[in-house]
Amino acid sequence: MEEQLGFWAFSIQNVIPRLGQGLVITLELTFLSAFLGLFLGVLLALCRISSKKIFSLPALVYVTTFRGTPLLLQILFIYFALPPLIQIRLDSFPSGVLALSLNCAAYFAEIFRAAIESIPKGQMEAARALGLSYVQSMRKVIIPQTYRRLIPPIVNELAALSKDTSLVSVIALSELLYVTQRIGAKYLRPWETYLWAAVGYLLVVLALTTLASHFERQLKKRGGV
Amino acid sequence: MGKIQSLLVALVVILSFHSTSVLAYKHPGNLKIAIDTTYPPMEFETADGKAQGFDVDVARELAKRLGTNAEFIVMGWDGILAGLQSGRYDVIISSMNITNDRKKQVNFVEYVKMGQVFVARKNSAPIKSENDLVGKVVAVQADTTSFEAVDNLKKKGIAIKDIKAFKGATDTFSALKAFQADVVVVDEPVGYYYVAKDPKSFAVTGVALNPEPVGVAIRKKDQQLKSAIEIALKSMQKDGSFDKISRNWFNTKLGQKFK
Repeated sequence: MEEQLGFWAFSIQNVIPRLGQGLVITLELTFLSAFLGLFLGVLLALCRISSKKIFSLPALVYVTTFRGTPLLLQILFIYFALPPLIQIRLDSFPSGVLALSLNCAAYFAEIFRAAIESIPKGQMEAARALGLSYVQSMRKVIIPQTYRRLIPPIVNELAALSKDTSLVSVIALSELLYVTQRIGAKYLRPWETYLWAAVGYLLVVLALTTLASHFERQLKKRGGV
Repeated sequence: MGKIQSLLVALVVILSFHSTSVLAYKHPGNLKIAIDTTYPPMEFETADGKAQGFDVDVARELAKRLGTNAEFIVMGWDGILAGLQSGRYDVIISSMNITNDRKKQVNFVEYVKMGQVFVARKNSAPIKSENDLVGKVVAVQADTTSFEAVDNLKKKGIAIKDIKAFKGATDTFSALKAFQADVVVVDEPVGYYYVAKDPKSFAVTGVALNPEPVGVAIRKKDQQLKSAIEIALKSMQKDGSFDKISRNWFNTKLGQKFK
């Protein structure tokens, strides 16, 4: 501790290994929440476009609530307010995943709804006229056509999600930003630590975009619309 | 060359003049003081966002004795030492324990001693000593002496279930109340303050660490300011104004072994 380590020595010895551990948690948070959020988002979108009020109204209320309040508030609410309120006590990681999935589901729902509604009405009418049921028309005709136009907004939301995971640091979960702040405060060398944290988040987003363009190429090959 | 030399001579004259008359030290401009206002009753904010607390009163009196006014800069605990190094303020007066690690970075002038206590939920089993921490989730503020103390206990082999290190001290008590933690380890005045605020939920159940010195942190190169603060604090101890502030906030003197 007495003599100052050089940039690389300090980075390799003290920063990168611990940030790596934080990055793993960040990735876990991102992918778990994305998976759950996408699943819930599809359900919500289908409810939202339903002509039956019993489906569309709750979905509308859900989307409005989760898009209308800060994610940070949702995280704090789940972690600190749920236990005394309804005796549900979730640890930091599950609280984080729950808040992030519920939140991104609202955004995904709107992405899916917009994509489905962008397919001309005539398609659904034609499918129904050919004798397909509503569910069949959706599954076989409408939804497959949305895939390609879905990819850019979904990647956009995933990139935002991967960075939003940093908010979970407020409930003492040692994801990337949390670890970064601890190291920064311990060694009093903020710029090296924050620089590597930035690299970490960039890597996540880069991985996401690479994955996305891979899917886009695949779809093109298979002749997706 | 002649210009630089005469400048140097002037500087030496000024410095030697000041060192013989530190009591007459007058701080240039306001004394800028960093505080982390998540630590009632040491430093926190009134409803309208003004700084208040034990440290705030000490700092105001100190600034007065240095012939200037106190200007408070609210900083997060994470970056509070880095901010001092980079010159964003003159001193830190924010219940900072004097540790060997920190002493490598900055100078300290001790002004009070504080211990650490265990705070538990009133209806749970009381945590009296470190051995009672086995199997418990402990909440502490990150990067504090409390965190180090608990971390060392874990390294010593006490089977603490989990250490949750939150950004603010206020969060640790929220976590305790929300059953996210079983015990908080915290500076003694802060512990007593929260227990007094919510005696139905919390209780101080034991001493975690014996009283340790707390100091004003000053940049290493600001030797003059350091000696001026030393003298000013000593005079505050002597004429009773320090005890008056202490009684005001805690009804007692800090740093006594409790019970």
